[in-house]
Amino acid sequence: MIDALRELLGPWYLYIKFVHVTFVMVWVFSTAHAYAYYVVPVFKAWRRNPEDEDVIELRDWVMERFDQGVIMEHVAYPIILITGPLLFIAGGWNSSSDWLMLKLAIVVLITLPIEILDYHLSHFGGAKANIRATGDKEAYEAGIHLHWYFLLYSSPVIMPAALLIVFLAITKFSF
Amino acid sequence: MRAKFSGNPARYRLASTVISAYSVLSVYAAFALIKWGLQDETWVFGWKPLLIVAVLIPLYARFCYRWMMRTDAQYGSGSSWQLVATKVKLPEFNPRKKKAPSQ
Repeated sequence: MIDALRELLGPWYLYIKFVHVTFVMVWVFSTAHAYAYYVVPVFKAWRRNPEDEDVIELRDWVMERFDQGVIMEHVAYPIILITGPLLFIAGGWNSSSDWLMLKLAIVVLITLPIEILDYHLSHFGGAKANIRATGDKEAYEAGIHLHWYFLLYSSPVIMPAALLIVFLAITKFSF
Repeated sequence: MRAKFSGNPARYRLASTVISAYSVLSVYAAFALIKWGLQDETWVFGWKPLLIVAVLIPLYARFCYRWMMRTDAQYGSGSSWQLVATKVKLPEFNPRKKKAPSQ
């Protein structure tokens, strides 16, 4: 079965790699600008002035726009998860490749749980626009707080992890 | 009355420790089990990898803690950010909103 797939996908290896690498770049960098120059500055302003209604209005606006903005990242991620295993099969890779096994461990154990939570917070039950539509202001504030916790806790993990993933994929590092 | 955000340095310190321990140990354990289980390689259980893991956990926890504290404006000068009270009309964006039919 795997051999048949390898034979089928083998000639398409570089094309699949092109799709994979392109969407990895989208996944890694598509929200960087909005995060660094909109979300963090506005949330810092809110944390220093938690009662300022103007800052709170701006905070809510930025958070809801950011929920929309991560759509590109969240379209790219499933494509990476599909093309990654295809590359693994097409390229004839196996567990002897240190870089690949380390990369696989980081993807499954670090990025996957973070992205699942991110999907929930940005598009499903935790999406701020959806909560606002219910008219429940306490739930909305709680949703904003939860998302800020998520960004505080996940950003020092996901950013180095993504960089390490790219480093391992390019250098094909071996111990 | 809005609820106060409950983030504080003690909470971030605990979160950093848990996040660091989980990240380093889980990735190391998965990598070691793959190399040992599928490739019969035992070097992953040697003193050097274990030393790297032991050193990396507190270092990475420290990195995460400082990151969280700075991001949450708990410290750092922040002098490049200005907070000037202004009132602006923020645009609404609804990609699903249909255009009104043209006459």
